[in-house]
Formats: sequence, C-alpha cells, structure tokens
Amino acid sequence: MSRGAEILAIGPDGLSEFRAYWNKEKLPFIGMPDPGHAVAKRYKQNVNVFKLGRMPLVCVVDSHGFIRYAHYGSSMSDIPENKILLEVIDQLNAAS
Amino acid sequence: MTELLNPGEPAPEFELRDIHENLIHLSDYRGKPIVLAFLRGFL
Repeated sequence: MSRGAEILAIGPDGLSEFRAYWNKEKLPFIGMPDPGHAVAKRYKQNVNVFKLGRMPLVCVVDSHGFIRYAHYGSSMSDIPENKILLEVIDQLNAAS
Repeated sequence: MTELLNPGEPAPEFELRDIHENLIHLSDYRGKPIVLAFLRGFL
C-alpha cells in the first residue's frame, strides 16, 4: 500500500482454505488465518447468529499502536470505503 | 451487544502465522500505520 501503511488481513478460515483463496486472488498484503477466532474475539468482531455470519471489521492502528479508527460492519457487505481509510492514514502521516 | 474497541484505545497485541507460516506480531509493524481487516465469514 502506498502512504507507508501496512495491511494485515485476518480471516476465519483454516490455513489451507485461506492460502488457496489468497493465492487465487493474488492479494498483495499479509493474510493470516485465525480459525480459532482468538484474535477476532480480542478485537470484538461482531458475530450475527441470525445471519450465520461473522461481520467485517476494519481498524486503523497508528504508529504507536493505538486504534485511530474502527468500523464494525453491521452486515456482510458493510465495509468502509477505501477513501475513508486513506483519509485516516493521511491524517496519521501528517501528524507524525 | 458486546462492548467494542474504540479509537484512542491501545490495539490489542496478537501473534498469528501468515499463509507462509511466518509468525506475525502486531508490534512488528510499530512505527507505521496499520490497516487491520477482519474478513467476513460464515460461522
């Protein structure tokens, strides 16, 4: 990613499934399976039992390790626009 | 509703292995902004 930010993606699938998806899509950032959901739970990722799903969550963490933005999706498709994330990152870079 | 993490709080440290089985710590990336994307999925 430009702007000096690192993208870390964490998913609920197991290693082989996750790796196959990553390789198929040729995703250029770090992908980490979390099949036991230990990290997802630590970050309070929403699970909606009625929708049988784990809702997306996006956080931006600053260079000192503090959360500066968190978007807890209320549906499977509720993901923040890239523009919003880039604005947050630009603000962090401008402040550092 | 579970309590959520909010801006201003320390991001909880974690360690996970990536798809290449490298051990990754959140703190490995201290010093630059990080986008943490927790992917959707079925239960």
